[in-house]
Amino acid sequence: MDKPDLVYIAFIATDAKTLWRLLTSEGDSPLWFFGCRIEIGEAAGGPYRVRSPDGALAVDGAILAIEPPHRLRILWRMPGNPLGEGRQNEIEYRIEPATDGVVKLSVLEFHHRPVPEAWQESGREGWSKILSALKTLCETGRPLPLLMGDRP
Amino acid sequence: MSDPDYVYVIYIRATPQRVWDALTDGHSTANFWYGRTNESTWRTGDTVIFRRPDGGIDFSGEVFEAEPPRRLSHGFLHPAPGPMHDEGDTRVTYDIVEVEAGVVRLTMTHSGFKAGSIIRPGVERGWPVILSGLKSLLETGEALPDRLDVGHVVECDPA
Repeated sequence: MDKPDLVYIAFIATDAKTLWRLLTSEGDSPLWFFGCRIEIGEAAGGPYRVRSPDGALAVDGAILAIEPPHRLRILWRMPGNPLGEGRQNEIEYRIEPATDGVVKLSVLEFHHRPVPEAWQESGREGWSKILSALKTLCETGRPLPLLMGDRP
Repeated sequence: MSDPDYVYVIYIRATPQRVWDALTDGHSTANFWYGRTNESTWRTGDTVIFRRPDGGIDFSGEVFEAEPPRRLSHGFLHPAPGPMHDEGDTRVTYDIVEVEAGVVRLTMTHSGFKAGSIIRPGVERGWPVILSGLKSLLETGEALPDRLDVGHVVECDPA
């Protein structure tokens, strides 16, 4: 299997199906994606888009693989982001059991070429917020208030 | 040459003081740190010891910086003779920033790894478990269960 360039991990007290539902729910996505809304197709080849709160297209991507409730791989194009311009990045969410009632959520980034430090920094910030927000939402039922307007 | 720092960032619904207290209280750490308790005055220049549930010392180090509730930095040395001890002291630093009312960004930086470090892979497996447990404890009052299967660590291409 190909190796990711960056990996972010969190352990969440929930079950895989609940977390998967949140990850793939257009309606719930603003609660964990800094107010951004995802649009997601149902099968590989379908669309995966992220719209920021003002409606702008932040991510214009596609589903590469979808295996509910364990694996979602996305072609992650960021048309308006100078860090992402022209890059063909891939993002993969993986949900694995860790013990009874706890799952391990991993976000893997595949770049297929060197990753500038600014991108890594931005990813650390963005994915940390997303994983933290998903964890709070799953474990407490309430969203984690976070600085809005930021993008991953 | 040295191996890169390991950095983990997590956002927690808590005040900086509660995060500081959870990291420095002698018994609190046992809830999320593989059962480890700690012993320290947490004053700069003093020593900190982390003990396993069986009483043995897991690691110890000097408190390099202690500015409650914002920044804490201490050494991390395995005392038992062997290759991990021979690798020498590494350093754990926490930066605690309130990013908005009642939400903290905790940045943990583990630094000072030698090239080809045998400590770093274990550290990379351990921190997401420890800091996920800390967040659960502070937000829900309950830590994550012990003995999480951390799974194989996905290997990254070197940056």
